[in-house]
Amino acid sequence: MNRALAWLSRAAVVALVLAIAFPLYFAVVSALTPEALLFEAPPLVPRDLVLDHFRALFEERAFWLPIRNSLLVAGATTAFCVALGSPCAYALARLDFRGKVPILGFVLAVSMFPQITIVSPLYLVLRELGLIDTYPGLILPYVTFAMPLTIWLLVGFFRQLPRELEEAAMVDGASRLRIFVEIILPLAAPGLVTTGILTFVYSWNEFLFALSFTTGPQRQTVPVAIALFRGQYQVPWGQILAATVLATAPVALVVLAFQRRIVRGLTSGAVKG
Amino acid sequence: MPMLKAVSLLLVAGACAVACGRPQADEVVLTISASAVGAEARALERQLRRFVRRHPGVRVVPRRTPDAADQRHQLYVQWLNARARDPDILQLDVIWTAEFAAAGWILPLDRFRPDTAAFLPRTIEADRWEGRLFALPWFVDVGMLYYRTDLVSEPPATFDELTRVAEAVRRRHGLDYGFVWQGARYEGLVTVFLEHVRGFGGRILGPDQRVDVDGDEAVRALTYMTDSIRRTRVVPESVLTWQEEQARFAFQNGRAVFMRNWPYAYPLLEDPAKSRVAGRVGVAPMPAAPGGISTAALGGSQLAINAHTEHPRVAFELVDFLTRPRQMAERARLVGQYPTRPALYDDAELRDALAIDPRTARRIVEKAEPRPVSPVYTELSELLQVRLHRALTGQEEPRPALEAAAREMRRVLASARLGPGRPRAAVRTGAGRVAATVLLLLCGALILVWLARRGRAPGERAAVVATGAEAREARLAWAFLLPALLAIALVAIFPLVWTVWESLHGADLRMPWLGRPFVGLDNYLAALTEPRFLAAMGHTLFFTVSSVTLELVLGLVLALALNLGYRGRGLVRAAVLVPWAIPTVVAALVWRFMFDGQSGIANAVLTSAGAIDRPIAWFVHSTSAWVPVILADVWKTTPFVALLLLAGLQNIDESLYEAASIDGARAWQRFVHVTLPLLKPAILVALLFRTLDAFRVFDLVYVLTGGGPGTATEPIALYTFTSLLQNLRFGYGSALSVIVFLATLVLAVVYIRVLGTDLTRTRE
Repeated sequence: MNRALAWLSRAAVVALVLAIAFPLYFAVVSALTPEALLFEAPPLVPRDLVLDHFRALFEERAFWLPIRNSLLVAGATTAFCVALGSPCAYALARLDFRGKVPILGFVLAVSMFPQITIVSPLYLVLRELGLIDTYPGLILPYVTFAMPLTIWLLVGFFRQLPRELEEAAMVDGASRLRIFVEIILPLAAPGLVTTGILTFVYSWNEFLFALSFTTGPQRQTVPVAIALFRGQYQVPWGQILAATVLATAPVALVVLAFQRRIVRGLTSGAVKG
Repeated sequence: MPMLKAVSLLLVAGACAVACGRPQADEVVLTISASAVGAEARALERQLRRFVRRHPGVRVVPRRTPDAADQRHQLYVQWLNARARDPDILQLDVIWTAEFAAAGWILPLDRFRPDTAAFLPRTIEADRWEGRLFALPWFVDVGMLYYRTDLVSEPPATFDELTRVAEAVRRRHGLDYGFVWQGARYEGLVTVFLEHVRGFGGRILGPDQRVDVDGDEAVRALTYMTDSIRRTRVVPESVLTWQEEQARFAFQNGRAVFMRNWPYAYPLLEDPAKSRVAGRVGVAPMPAAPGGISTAALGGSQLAINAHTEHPRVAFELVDFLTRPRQMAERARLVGQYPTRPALYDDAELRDALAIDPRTARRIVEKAEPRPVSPVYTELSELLQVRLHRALTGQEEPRPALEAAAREMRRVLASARLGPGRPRAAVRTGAGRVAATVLLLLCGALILVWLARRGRAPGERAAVVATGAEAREARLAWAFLLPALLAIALVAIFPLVWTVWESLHGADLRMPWLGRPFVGLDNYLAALTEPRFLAAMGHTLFFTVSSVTLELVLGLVLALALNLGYRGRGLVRAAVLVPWAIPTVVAALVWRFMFDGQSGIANAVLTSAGAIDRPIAWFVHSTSAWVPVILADVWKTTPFVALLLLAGLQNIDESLYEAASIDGARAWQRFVHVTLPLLKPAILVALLFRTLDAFRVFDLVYVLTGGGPGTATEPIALYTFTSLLQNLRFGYGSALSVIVFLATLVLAVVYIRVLGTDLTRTRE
C-alpha cells in the first residue's frame, strides 16, 4: 500500500515537473531555431541551432535599452522600499504602540489593491508633474505594490529573530534606535536580501503600470518591450522568444540560487506557523 | 608670458563657447515628429537638409516617436492636451486629423492658401473638419487585391466572381486558401470591412456624422464576409487572428489565390530570394458587387501643425516643402510610399519607384476612400471592431451585430454631442448628482464615527498604563512607521480618493470641448447597464473560479507528493519556482506561441495523438480561446499554491498521523480527517491570494488573446484599461475602477472573515 502510494506520488511529481518544464524548454529551443524552420514543424528536438534571433534583438531592436530600464526601475524601487520599509517593519514586529493591528491590516489591504484602480489618477498626477515616460514616473507607482510586500515580508523576518539579544542590549542601556541599527539590521541581513530579491522580481515583472506610464522605447521595461514587439505589420516570433529567454534567465538564476530562502520568505509571509 | 597666453586662450575659448553655444537671436528651431527609422529616416534627413539650406536661420530637429500607431497616438494626445509648444509639426495617421482638429490641437491651414486641387481629392477630404483644412497629405496607403497571374487570367470584378474563381483555382491547383485578408480584431479589420461595405454600396458613417453601418448594404457585405469564412470557406478561419504579415506570408508561400493587402507587400512578394511567387503577382482594385463601388481603404500620413507653435509660418513652409512634387517623388523612390499628387503618377520616374505599374497604381489610388472622418473615430472603430469580430467568429449574426454596433456608435456620437440631433443636453441627471452628494456625505460621516470610536477606547487604556519609557517607544515606533506609511498613502490612498472623485465627472481627454462636468453617479449607471461591462465581469468570474479551482487541486497534489520526501526534492522545488518567478507577459507569450495558428505545437501534438483531425484555430472561437488562457495561468501559479500548501503540510505534527494509523485509519481517511482540517488555514490563504490575483488578471489576457475573439475573453481589468488609456474616457473608466475596487474589497472582507484574524495577528 505505502509502496504503491510512494510510487504514485513519485510519478505525479515527475509528470507535473515535466509539464512545468516543457514550455520553458520549448521556448529556449525555439529561440535558437531559424525563423524558417519555426513555422514548418514545431522544433521539439533542437537542430540547426543559431543565435540569429539574439543578435537581431540587440542589433535591430536595441534590447539593451529595456534591460537597462528594468534594472534601474526595479533596482531603485527595491532600494527605496527596503530602506523605508525595514524600520516600519521593525516597529510593527517589535515595538510596542497602539494601532499595530489596524496598520498591519492596512498594509495587507493595500497589497491586495487591484492595480487598475489607481491607474487613472496616477496617470493624471504623473502627467501633471511631467513624469510620464520617466524613471521616477515608474518607481513611484511601483511603491504601491512593492512597499506593502516589503513590509509584510520583513515583519515575518524580524519576528523570527531571537528577542534575547535585544533584551540584553537594552539592559546594557542601548537605545532602541541603536539596537535596530547595530544589532537587528546586521542580524536580519539574510532576510533583507531575500526581501530585496522578491521585491526586485515583482518589480521586474510588473506590466500594467509600465505599459500605462511609458510612451516609447526610451523608458519601456522588459515586459512591455516584449509585449509590444509586434511591429506595425509583423509578429517576429523568433525575436520574441529570444527576448523571453533573456528576460527569464536572470530571474530564474537568482531564484534557483536563493530558492530555499525565497520559499521561506514567500510562505512565512503568508502562512503563520 | 605663458600665463598671458593661457589666459588669452581661455578668453578665446570662452567667447567661442558663448558664440557657438547660444542659438542666434533670430534662429528659428522647428521640431518635427515623424517616423524616424530605416529608409524613412534617411529620406527625411535628406529633405530636411535641403530645406535648411534654402532657409538660412532655420534649424529643424526631428523628434523620435514610437512606431506603433496607438502608442504614437497616446503620446500626441498627451503632448497636445498639455498645450506643449513642440513638436511644431506632427505626422498624423489619416484617421486622427478630425479628432485633433475638433480638439483645437492643430492649426487650420486655409490661411496659408495651399493648392489643395493638386492633391487626391479623397486625401484632402480626410484632412478637412467642419469645412476647414487641417493637414496636408504626405503619402498615401491603399488597400488592394493581390492575385496570382499564373493561376488567374483576369482579376475578378465582383465579389461573386472572386469567390467562384478562388474556389475553383484553389481546388484545381491544391492551394490551401482561396482568399486571405486581415481579420484580427484591430484597425486593419475596419479597412477590410470598409472595402466590402463600399463594394456592396453601403456606408459606415454618412455626412453629418450619421451612422449607416446597420443599413441593408452593410449587412449584405458583412454576410458575404462571414459566409466566405463559414459557408463557402474560401477564406480560412485563421484570418481572424491575422494582421498584414500573416496574410503576406500565406500568399508569399504560394498558399493563397487572392490576398487583400497594402502596397508595401508588393516588392517583398517580388523578391525571388524570399518569395515563392515572385514574378507571378498582380494587383487590381478590390471587387464590387453590382450597384456597389470598388473601393480602396485610404491609409497613409498627413502633416499637421501644432496649434501652439511659435512659428506657424515657417512650420507651414516646411510642411509645404515636404509635400512638394520633388520631395514626394523622392520619397516614393527611397521609401516606396505612394504620392498624394495624382500628377506624379504620370511621371516615368515613378515606374521604377513603385514597382507596380503607375497606371494601375493610380487606378487604385483614385478609388481610395477615407474611413469615417470623425473626432471620435478611434472609439467608433473600437466598437465596430468588436462587433465585426463577433459576427465573423460566429458569436453573433451579421445583422444584429451591426445593429448593436450602430446603436453603440450613435450613443458615443451623442455623448460627444456630434451627429444628428446634435444640440443635446449633456448626459447628466439631477438625480445622479444628488445621490452622489448624499452618498459622499454618508461615507464621510461613517469614517468619522469609526475614527472617533477607534480613537477613544485604546486612548483611555493608554492613559492608565503609559509610562515614560513606553511613550518614548511609541514615539520611536511612529518615527519608524511614518516614512513608509506616508509613501503608501501618497501613491496608493490619495490616487484612490482621486479615482472616486474622477468617477463622478464626465471627463474625456479626447473631447476637451465637453469640459469636465460633474455627473454624479451617471458613469456608474452607464457601466451597470453596459453589456460589455457585465460580460467582462462574467469572464472575470469564470476565469477566477476555473483557474483557482484547478490550481488548488493540482497544487494540493503537488504539495502532498513533495511532502513525502525523497531524493532530489530540492531540485524539484527549485524547478517549480521558475514559472512563478518569470514575468507573466513572458509566460503568456510562450503559451501564445505554443497555441499559435497552424504551426503551434499544441495542434501538432493533438493531431499526431489523433485527438483532432485538423488544426484548431484556438484564438478564433469564444470557448477554445479560454484554453490557453487558463492553462497558462495554471502553469504559472500552481507552483506558488503548492509551496504555500507544502509549508502548511510541514507544520502538521507527525504524531497525529501515527495516532490515526494506530486507530486503524486508512491513508484516505487520514487525509480527510487529519490533513485537510489542519491544512485549512493554508488552503484559505492560498485561496485568498489566488482569488484576488485572478480577479485582477490583466497581463495574461492582454498578451494571449487581447480579450478576443470579439470580447469573449475580456476581463474587467482589460475593459477598464481600454476605457481609460485607449479611449481616454477617464470619468467612465474611473467608475469602472471603483467598481473593481469594491468587488475586490468585498472578496477580501469575506475571506478575512472566514479566516478570522489569522492574517494580522501577531505570532507570539
